[in-house]
Formats: sequence, structure tokens, C-alpha cells
Amino acid sequence: MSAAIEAQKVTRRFGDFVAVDAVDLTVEEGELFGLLGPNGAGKTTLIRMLTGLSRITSGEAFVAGVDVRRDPVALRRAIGVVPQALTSDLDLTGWENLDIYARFFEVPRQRRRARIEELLRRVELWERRGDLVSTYSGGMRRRLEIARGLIHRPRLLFLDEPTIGLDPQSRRTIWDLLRELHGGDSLTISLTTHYMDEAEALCDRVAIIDHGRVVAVGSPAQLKASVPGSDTLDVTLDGPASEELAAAMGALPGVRRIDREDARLVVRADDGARILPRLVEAITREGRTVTAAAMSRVSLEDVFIQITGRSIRDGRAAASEARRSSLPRRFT
Amino acid sequence: MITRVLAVFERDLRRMLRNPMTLFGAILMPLVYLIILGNSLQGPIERLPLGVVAFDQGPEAREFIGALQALERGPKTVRLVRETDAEGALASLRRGRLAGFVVVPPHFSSDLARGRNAAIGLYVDNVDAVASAALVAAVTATLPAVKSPLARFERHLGPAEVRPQEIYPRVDYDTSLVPAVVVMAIFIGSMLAGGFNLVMDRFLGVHESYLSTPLTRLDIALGVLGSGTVVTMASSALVLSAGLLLTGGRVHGGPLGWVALVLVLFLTTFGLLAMMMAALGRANHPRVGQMLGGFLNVILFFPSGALYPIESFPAWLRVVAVVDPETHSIAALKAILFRSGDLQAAATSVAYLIVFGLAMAALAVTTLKRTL
Repeated sequence: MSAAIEAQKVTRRFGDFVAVDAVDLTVEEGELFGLLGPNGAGKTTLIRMLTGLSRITSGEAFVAGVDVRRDPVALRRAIGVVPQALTSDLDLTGWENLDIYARFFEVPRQRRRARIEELLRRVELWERRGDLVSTYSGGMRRRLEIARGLIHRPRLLFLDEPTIGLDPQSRRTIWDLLRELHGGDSLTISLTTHYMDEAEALCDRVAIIDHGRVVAVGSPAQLKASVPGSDTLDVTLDGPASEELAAAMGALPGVRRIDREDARLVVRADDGARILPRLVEAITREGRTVTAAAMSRVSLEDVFIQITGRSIRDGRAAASEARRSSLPRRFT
Repeated sequence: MITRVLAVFERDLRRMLRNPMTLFGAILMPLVYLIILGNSLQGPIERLPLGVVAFDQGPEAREFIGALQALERGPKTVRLVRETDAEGALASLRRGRLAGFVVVPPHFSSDLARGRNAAIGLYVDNVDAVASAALVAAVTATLPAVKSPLARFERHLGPAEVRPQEIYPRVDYDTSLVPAVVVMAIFIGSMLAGGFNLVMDRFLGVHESYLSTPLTRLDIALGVLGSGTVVTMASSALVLSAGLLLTGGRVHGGPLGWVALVLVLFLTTFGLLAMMMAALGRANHPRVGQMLGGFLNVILFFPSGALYPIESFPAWLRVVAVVDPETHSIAALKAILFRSGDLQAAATSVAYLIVFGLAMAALAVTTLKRTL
């Protein structure tokens, strides 16, 4: 495998503010790679640099084999970009939107028609090709913009928060489309998101970015496994759990931590599926009855908390709070 | 490059054509200006209510009042209202029933007969500067009538007169506004097709999407300039046709006159569009575009001599008029439309428009290369 994205010490400063701080990143060809982090973490700035839309202050980056700083035109021909803002023309039809962008890429007329048809069918907008985009729903517009990003058959597709503001059904449709592009076409995809479930559901590997730095990289499974006691067992007994019982259960092999709360025992373990039967058996041996048991696996949200010490929602709230506090009082 | 520029051109053109209300507004607004301005600023001031308080019935006093009556019946500048005393007339003036009143003092005629100075009092409501100035001018103009019959009788002089000779076909005020209205249509078209489109596209992130394709900033600038020129020229041509139809005007000079007309429309459109793109090159919110558009309209339209002769301006405003492209555009259009096709009269203005257009295009491209 060769690298689709190779970034070394990539930094972006705005005056004294460091938006992206010496990021090293490698994305292999054919990967669906996620950049995960709260708003204001530096994801979009990093993507803007990798797509040639923003200057790199220091460091170097190669995208699709092209030196981002030296050959922006070759870079643009090699990549497709689906920005966060919906930028398709409302006054043009779906077909016209794709046709205009195909001409930006100087796709020859004969190939253009076939490619537009292929893409519109693929994103399930063929029947609506002649309608003005102003009549499309948000999900349809996003699908059209993904098709637009693919019009010139790029080697690598960048998507910035592709499902932001969409209803659950539209999100699922976009997910299916991305899975198809990734699985069927082996397209390399770089996906920016602050939705943990999205990154978990779609990405081969994820980089968690916070305060302009990449703080962790790995597959969702690897990242989750890096959290000690990655599974949670919630066991309810027939009566209040004694301290002695909790201590005995805590001594079982594989149990990382145990918390007692009236009739509940909350157990953190590395391999919950293996521990649960043993736990029930040990409780029964102690003469108690288990009335309910549930197991939940660690999520990327837990990974984020483990690494950064706060939840991604706190980060979003903090970012929005920081923006508000930077405004004059009369605007807040 | 041509393919890319044409794609931007076509995209903008389609968008504008699919917003007929905007285009309709760009055509309708200048025509409304023509009708409103044409009827609100033109023509003599008539029927100003003038009170007359006469304390003297002598020959000169009667002569003066006779001259005022002639003014009432002839040019109808005033409508005379008999008043019995000055206090009552003053009260009527304050209440707005009179625009002014004259007081002929008791010894007016006898003082004049004895060779003394005699004055008639004229009280005006000077809140309305234009009406009061017209009233002062009209009343002052009647004074020579007080003595002139006697002078003519003594010296046996014949009446002198001035016969104005107009060297071009008659141009009434409505028709004289047509060039101004066409230039206003070009300004509005440039603002909508060039300035606002550019600002909105930047605001909505369209340029960012553009720049993640092989499209260059120059491609975008040329595409917007091209589509804006076509749309603005088409709308201004419609305004010109409607203006000529409404006023009964026509294009002089045969085919050459038409060619010159299209050339002036093109140069004005190109120059104003490029100026708008340069001015709004840094604007990143539609509100900035609206504010700047309104500001530019005022500082370009009014000093252009569109409504009032430049010769009446103070020195500093004349300087503004000289560099104002709309001044030259209106002058060129007047030469083509009203000077019987005397195209040489438009040569200097056309030369200025060429220089202005090239300078603004260079400035727009330079600005947009940095700011897009």
C-alpha cells in the first residue's frame, strides 16, 4: 500500500494562534479515514491545507503523490472535495450543477454526459435531474455534492462533516453511499466529523484531533481496546449488594473496577462477554440472585474522554462558549 | 482556460435568467426614475399664492400691481390674494396659506415721483428655498414695468428682444433624462450581476468550492465579468428602448449612430462592472455589498450632471464630476441621441470610458486574485 496522504509536521498559525500544531499523518490508499474532534479542534483547517485551500505555515504534505505546496493545480485534479457548506447552485438543476463542475475539470463532452448520468443514478437523483436544486431536500443536496466531488474521477475524496444537519434517514443514506464508494470503488476517503457513531460506523482508521494536535490514531477497535476496562457490565441483584460481595466480585480475573450502588453492581472489564457468565456464577455461589444483567461496550466517545479528559460535547460547548465570549457583549 | 471561463459565464447567466424578478427590478427601477424625476423636477413653478397689501393707489403703485396681475395671467407664477393689512397677511404666511406677500407703502408713488428711493416690502416663507427664490425673482422682475412705459414714451425706443435659436432638435426634460436613466440601469445591472453575485457566492462558500477545482481566480473574474456584461447590456438596451418609446426620442446618425450607441453601452457596462468587482472584492457579507452599492450610486449618479448642469456645482464637486465615469457616459449618450449623430462630440467621453474600463478591469483582476 502507498500513502494517499502523507503529512509531516504540518502547522498552521494565524498570528499567535496555532490552529494546527505539527501534525504527522499517514492515510493509505483505499482507506476510509476519519478525522474526529470537537468543533474548533483544527480538523477543517487541516483539511483546507491538505486540499490546497489554505497555506501551510510549516511542514510538508503530499496528497495523492502531489506536493501540496508546489503543485496546487495537479492537486485539485487528483482530489475531490465535498465542503461542509452546501454550495450547489439552487437556481440550476441537478444535471446542470454537475455539468458546470465537469467543465471546470475540462471533462470532454462525450465523457461528460455518461459520467453525469452514472453519478446521478448512483446517488439516486436521476429521476430528479431536471429539477432545480432549490426543490431538493438537504440530504439530496448533499448526495448531489458528493456526486459533484466525484465528477472527475478523483483518487481521493475529502468530505467535511457530510452529514451535519441531516435527519437520521438521510444520514444513513449518505453512510451507505460512502460505504459503497469505499468498498465497491476502493476510493480513498478522508472524512471529517464530530459524530462518534459516524466515525465508528464508517472509518477503517480514525485520528482524534484536539487543540490542533493529533492525540490518537488507530482503527476504532484499536482505539477502544486502548481504554482499560473497555466493557461495562451492569448487574442488578435481588437486594442491596454488600461491600463484601462487591469485593469478592472485584477480585475475579479480568475485572478492572467495580462500583456498588444499592442493588446494582457496575463492573468495568476488558472482555465483558467472557467475564459476565463467571460473574453471574460467582454471585449465585454467594447465595444471591441476579435479576437483570446488561453489557455495553466502550465507544469512541469514551476513548475521547479517556484521551482528552472531557467529552466531545463539552469540547463543542467550550468552543461555542469561547466564540461567544470573544464577541462584544451586545452580540451575546 | 476558455472552457472553464465559459462554464463560470454560463452558470452565472443561467442563475440570473432564472431570477426574472431581479432582472425585472433592474429594468423597472430606472424607468420609474425616469417617470418620477421627469415629472417632479421639470417645469416652471406656478400658482404660488402671493398676498398683496396696497396702501398706495398712485400711478406707480397701480403700475406695479398691474405687472403682478400680468404675471398671474401670463406665466402664472403667482396667484394674487388681496389682503387688507400686513398683520393678517403675515398670519396667513405663517399658516402656510401664502407663499409670500408684498406691501406697497403709502407714499410709494409720490416718493418715486419726487426722485426719492421707494421700497416695496416682500415677505417670503423661506423654509422652501426654491419656491421663495422663485417668488423673489418673479416679483423683482416686475419692477422695471413701473417706469418703462414712461421711458418708452420719452425716448421713443423700440422694444428689444432676444430670439433663442436651438441648433439641435428640441429636447424636453423627460427626453433629456433618458441617458441618465440608461446609465442608472447599467449601474444597477452591474451591482446585481457583478457586485452582489460575487459577494453572495463568497458568503455562501461557492468560491471555495470553485477553488477546489482547477478553476483559477482569473477564470472566475473573467466569467463573472463576461456574464455581467451580457446581462447588464441587455437590460440597459431594454431600458433605452422603453425610454425612447416613452419620450418619442430616436437614435441619430444612422448605422454609425447605432454602433456608437452599442459601444458606449458596452464601455459603460464594462467599466462599472469592473469597478463594482474591484470595490466589492473584499466584501464578505451581502450587507456590505448593499451599503457600498447605495453609496456608489449617490456619489456617481448625482455629480454626473444627469439631473442638473455641472456648471452649477461648487469647484470640488466639479472635480468629482470630471473623474466620474457616469458623467462621460451620459455626455456620450447625449451626443449620440440629441446632437443629431455628431459622434465627434462623444469622442473625448468615449476615450475616457476606454481608459476607465481598462484601469478598473486591471484593478478588479488584481484585487480578486488576492481576495477570492
